[in-house]
Amino acid sequence: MKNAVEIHSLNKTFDGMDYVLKNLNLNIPEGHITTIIGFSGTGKSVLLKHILGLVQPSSGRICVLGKDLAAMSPEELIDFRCHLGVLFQHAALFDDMTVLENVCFPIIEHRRNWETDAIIETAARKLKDSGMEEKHFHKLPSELSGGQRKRVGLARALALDPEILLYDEPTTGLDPILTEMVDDLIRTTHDKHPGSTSIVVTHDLHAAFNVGNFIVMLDKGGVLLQGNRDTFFKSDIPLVQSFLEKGFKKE
Amino acid sequence: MISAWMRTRDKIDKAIDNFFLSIWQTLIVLFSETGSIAFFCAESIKQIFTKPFRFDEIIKHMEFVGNKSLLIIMLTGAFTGMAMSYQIYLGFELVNAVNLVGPTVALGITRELGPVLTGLIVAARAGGAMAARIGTMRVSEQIDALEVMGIDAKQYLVSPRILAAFVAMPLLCGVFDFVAMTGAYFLCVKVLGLDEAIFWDKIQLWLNPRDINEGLIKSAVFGVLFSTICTYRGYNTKGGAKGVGEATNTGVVYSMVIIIVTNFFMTNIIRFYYKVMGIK
Ligand SMILES: Nc1ncnc2c1ncn2[C@@H]1O[C@H](COP(=O)(O)OP(=O)(O)OP(=O)(O)O)[C@@H](O)[C@H]1O
Ligand SMILES: [Mg+2]
Repeated sequence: MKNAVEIHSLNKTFDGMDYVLKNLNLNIPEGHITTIIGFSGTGKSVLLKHILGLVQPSSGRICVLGKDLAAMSPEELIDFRCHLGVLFQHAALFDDMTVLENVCFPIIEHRRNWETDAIIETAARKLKDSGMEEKHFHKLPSELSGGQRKRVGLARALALDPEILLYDEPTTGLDPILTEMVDDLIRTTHDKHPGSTSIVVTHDLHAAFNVGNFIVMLDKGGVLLQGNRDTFFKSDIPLVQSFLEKGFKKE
Repeated sequence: MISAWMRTRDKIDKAIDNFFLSIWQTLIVLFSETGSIAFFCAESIKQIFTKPFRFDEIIKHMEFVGNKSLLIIMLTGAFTGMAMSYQIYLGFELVNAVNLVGPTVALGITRELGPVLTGLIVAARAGGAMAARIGTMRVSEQIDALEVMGIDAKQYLVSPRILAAFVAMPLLCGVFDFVAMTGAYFLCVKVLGLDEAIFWDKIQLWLNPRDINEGLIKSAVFGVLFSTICTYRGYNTKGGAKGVGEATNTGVVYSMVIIIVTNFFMTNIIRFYYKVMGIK
C-alpha cells in the first residue's frame, strides 16, 4: 500500500524545552480516510500543520505524496500546496470577504482562465454541497455562527478538488444532524474523488470509527495506537479503553 | 563592615554587568531585526514584479493609504504652514528680513517638514492599520489559510502595500507642500500684510524645483520604510489579540523613529550629492 504521508521520528518544540511532538512515526495510507484522535492538547493540530509545511519540524522528516517537505524551496512548497485542501479548526475565513467570495477566492487564484460565471457557479455548488443556504452567501464571516463558518471553510477547502484533504475538527460545534451531514460529506467527497486521501482530526469517536478506515490515536506527542476499528476495540491499553468508554458513553 | 562593602560592590558590579549585557542584547536584536527587515523588504519588492500581478490589491491599498489620508494631510499642512510662517515672520522681523519669510518657509516645508510630517502621519494612520490587519490575519490563521491555498501570502499581503505606500506618499507630500504654502501665503499676505508680489517673487527666486523633488523622494523612501516595518511586524505577530496590539504599537513607533533618523541622513546625503555634482 502506498503512503500519502510518511513521518519519521518527528520532534517539535516551540520553546526549546517542552516537546509537543516527540519521536512521532506515522504512515498515512493513500486513498483512504484516516482519522486522528486524541485528547485535547496532544498536538493534533500541530501535526496537521507539519504535514502542510506551515510549521518546521525541530527534527525528523516528513514526506507528503512522496516528496520531502524539507527539501522543497518556498516556491515549490507553495505550488505543491495546491494539491492540499484544508479545513482549519477555527475555519480561518478571510474576514473582509463575503461567504461567496471566500469560496471563489482559491478558484480565481488557480483557475485564471475561467469565466466569472463558472467560478461563481462552482463556488455556489460547493457551498450548497456543504449545507450553506443561498441567503447567507453575501454575509461576512463575522455575521455567521460557528457552525456556519465551518461549513464555509469546508466548501473553500473543497473548492479546488484537492488530492489530500485535511480536516481539523470539522464537526466540533455543529448540531448532531449537521455533524452527520458533514461526516457523510467527508465520505461522499472521498468517494467522488477516487485515489484522494482524507485526514480527519476529530474528538467525535462516532465519526472517527464510522468515517475512517484507518485510525490513529495520539498521546503525549507520539502515536499511541494505530489500526482499524478492531485494533482499537481489542486493545488493552488503559488509555485507549478509557477514551473509547468515555467517548461512546457520551452519545 | 568589609563583608557588607563587598556585598554592595558585588551588587554594583552585577548591575553594571547587567547594564552592558542589556545594551549588548538590544544591539543584537536591533541588528538582527534590521537584517531580517531588510531581507523582508527586498523579497517583497522582488515579488511586486512576479506573477500574478495584483493590480486590484495595489489600487485598493493606494486608495487606503492615499485617498483616505488626504483630509488629515491637508489639515495638518494648512496649520503647519501657518504656524511656521508666523514664527519665521516674528524672527525675521527682528532683523528686518521679512521679505525672506516666503522662501524660508518654502524651503523648510518642501525639503523637511513636508516629507517628515507626511511620513509620520501616514505611518501612524496607514502603517498602524497595516500592522493590525496583517497581525489579525496571522493570529486567526488566515495567513496559514492563504499559504495552504498555494498563495504566496507575502506577495498577496505585503508587496501591494509597500508599492501603494511608495506611490501614494510623494503624492500626499505634494499635497502637503501645496496646502502648507497656501496657508503660509494666507497668513503672511492676508493677515500679516506682507507684499504679495514680493512674497511670490522671493519664493520663485530661492526655491528650486529640485528642492521639491528632494522632499518627494524622501517621502517615497519613508513610504517604503514605514510600510515595510509595519507589515513585517504584522506578519510576524505572535500570541493572540495582545500580540496584534504589540505589533501595531512597535510597528508605528519604529516607523516614526526610523523616519526621523533617516530624514537627517538623507538630508546630508543629498547635500553631499549636490556638492559632488557641483550643484549650488
Ligand atoms: N504556535 C505555538 N506556539 C507555542 N505552543 C504551541 C503553538 N501551537 C500549539 N502549541 C502547543 O502545542 C500543544 C498542542 O496543541 P494543538 O493545538 O496541536 O492541540 P490539539 O491536539 O489540536 O488540541 P485540540 O483538540 O484542543 O484542538 C499545546 O500544548 C499548545 O500549547
Ligand atoms: Mg486542534
